[in-house]
Amino acid sequence: MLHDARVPRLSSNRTPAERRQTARQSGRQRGHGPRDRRREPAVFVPIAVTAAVLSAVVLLALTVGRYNVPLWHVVQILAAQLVPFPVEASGTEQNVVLLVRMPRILLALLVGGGLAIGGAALQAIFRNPLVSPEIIGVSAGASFGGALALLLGLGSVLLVTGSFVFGLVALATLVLITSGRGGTPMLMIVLGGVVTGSFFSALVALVTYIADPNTTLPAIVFWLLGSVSTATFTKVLVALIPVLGGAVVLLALRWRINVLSLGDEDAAALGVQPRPLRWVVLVAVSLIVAGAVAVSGVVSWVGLVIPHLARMWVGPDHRVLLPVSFLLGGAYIVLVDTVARTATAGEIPLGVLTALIGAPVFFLLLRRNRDRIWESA
Amino acid sequence: MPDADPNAGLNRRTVLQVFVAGGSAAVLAGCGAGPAPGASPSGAPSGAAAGGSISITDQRGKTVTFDKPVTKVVTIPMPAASLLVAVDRSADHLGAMHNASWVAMRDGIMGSMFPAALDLPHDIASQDFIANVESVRALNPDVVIQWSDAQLIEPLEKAGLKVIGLANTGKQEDVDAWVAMFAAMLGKPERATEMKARSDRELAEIKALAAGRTSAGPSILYFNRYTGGLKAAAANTYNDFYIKLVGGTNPATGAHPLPGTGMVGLDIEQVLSWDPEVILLGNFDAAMPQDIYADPVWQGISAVRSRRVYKVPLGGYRWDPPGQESPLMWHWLTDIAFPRPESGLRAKVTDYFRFLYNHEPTGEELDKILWTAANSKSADYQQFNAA
Repeated sequence: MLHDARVPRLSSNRTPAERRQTARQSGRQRGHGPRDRRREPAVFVPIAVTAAVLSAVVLLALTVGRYNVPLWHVVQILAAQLVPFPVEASGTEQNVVLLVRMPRILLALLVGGGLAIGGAALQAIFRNPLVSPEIIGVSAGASFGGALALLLGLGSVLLVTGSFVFGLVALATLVLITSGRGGTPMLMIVLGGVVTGSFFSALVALVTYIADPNTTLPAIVFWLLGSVSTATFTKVLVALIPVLGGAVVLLALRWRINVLSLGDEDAAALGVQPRPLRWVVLVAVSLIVAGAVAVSGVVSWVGLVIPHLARMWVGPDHRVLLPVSFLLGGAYIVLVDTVARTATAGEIPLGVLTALIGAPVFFLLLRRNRDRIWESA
Repeated sequence: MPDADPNAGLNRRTVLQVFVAGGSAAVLAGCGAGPAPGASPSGAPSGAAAGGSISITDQRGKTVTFDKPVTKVVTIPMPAASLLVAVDRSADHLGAMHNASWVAMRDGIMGSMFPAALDLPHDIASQDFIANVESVRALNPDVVIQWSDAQLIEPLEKAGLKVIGLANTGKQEDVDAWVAMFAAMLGKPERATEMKARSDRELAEIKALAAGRTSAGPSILYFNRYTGGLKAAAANTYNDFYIKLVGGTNPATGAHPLPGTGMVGLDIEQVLSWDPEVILLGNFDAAMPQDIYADPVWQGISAVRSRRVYKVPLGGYRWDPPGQESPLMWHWLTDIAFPRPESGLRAKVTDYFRFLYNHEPTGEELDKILWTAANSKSADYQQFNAA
């Protein structure tokens, strides 16, 4: 399926500027030509359907919770945000919908969407279905940064900063490991990611080892388990910049990611320089992952399962796959988090639920689609 | 229990059997050598006084024998260090302690009461209570206090050390058992009886107060954690016990209870739907009433509207879990639930500290223990202010 006509046809042996020019031209040409697929229903229908699913999930999530807010009041509260509207709902009900549920849902959406689109992009550039954001070591780096901030009792702003900085440090380490003479084989990046990830995992273990078992350790463990229960609009903003920034970069590169997923040689033959492009994608994914880990800890399996689900549905064309992964990932985490906060009077850690659901679902998918899951790999 | 304890519930049955059979210190301090094996259940026989050795059956059910009262004790479970000091009324026989105990002493009032304790070794065990056997051995203690877990204890015993195992089920009975064992090994079994009698007297007083009330008490929610995800005291916690003891109700164990036992994570919406009248913030994180008062989401809760959010006091040890200062916690919570113009708590704390630590806290120390500054914006807290 990867070798279909959807990849952009670019010629090799040109300067990057020329290639961009050609790409723009070819894009325009396709816009008018009979081969154009961006305008085809096949591209927009899945995106529209997933967006509709996401909207439905978000609305559902806004209406359910342990504190009972009648559906009509939720509608009023939301409507009043857009137009002046008399609201019957009490102040507490408004707080619950706007200050408790809303930031939590937005945060879940960003985390789920970000991790899923990151996973989809990584699987493409590594041409490996087992790759997820954890593999490049950025999750571990960001975990360490966050755990360190918790250990030192630095507060939530520095928690986010810490995750972010160390997520990027992990990426820089990866660059350092893999840079040098000649090119960077993909294997080196994966190995570098494993090395970086293990190192930072060890540092996380060290932090939990020296943390006070009475005070800081439970907080670190809870955070590492993954949760969006402490969501605020500040956290949403913090996640918004790196996650959306990275996602926009990935979406802008959707054509080139398509080309890159053919393999380095084919990509080079088609006029795309694989190495710089791969690094751009890696940095974008790192931004996303660092942002997501900073606000929610480690939410596992999303970056692996959702791209697979999406790929089974829409195929490997990243023009569709990337946005669908983002929307689907967002919907998935919003849904799972809604279960996490409503199923019992207590709170179930989100990361535990995603792993509990993710692993068996992935198993079933693999069993049922053994032959179709990655046809060209 | 908030205390991270690897063995909660491990040997509860054994302990209970021991206590049912003999009552507090009597059996634990029973003599090994000869005299009075069938010591009267109500008495407080002292092995040392009888000229023989001291035998102690710990919470694993293992009997440890000492020829004479111990003089150098290494404590690894966190509450054990301050409890030993309270039983001994001095830190002279404490040889080394867990780093978390040391940090608690340094940051709390214990360090100012017993400054010498801060010079003691405290790098003898990892955060998960695995002792560095060689470090402990080098100190050559008479006894090591450790959690009742074979994996934790065996390496120490193999190194030829005597170990007393503690169990922690989050109940006052555990503290009573620890006090009894510590008093016995220090050769002061009467101290355990004295502490137990005092604690029982306070308990009876609190119960009488609660029974004499005609009005229902407020609903009280204890937060073990506030920052980084809420955790409240659910069923089977000591916090639930004292909330009900003083005549309050715990919504987390009420009509819509939290699932499970111990400290359970929950969502703010659940708190909103319970709408507790009093909120207690524990000493396992740095959250203060001001944090809740400043958060718009919490404004709908009765406890916030009526400014009844309080930081639990922190004395020689945290008042949230069971400990030697628990009777003071009962009194404090009684006054929180049923405020008076002037609480007699400051005098009571002074008296109790004299009894426990042979130390008279200054006004400044009392303010620190009771968090009077942090709680100053909360309703009725001026009842605890200095006259």
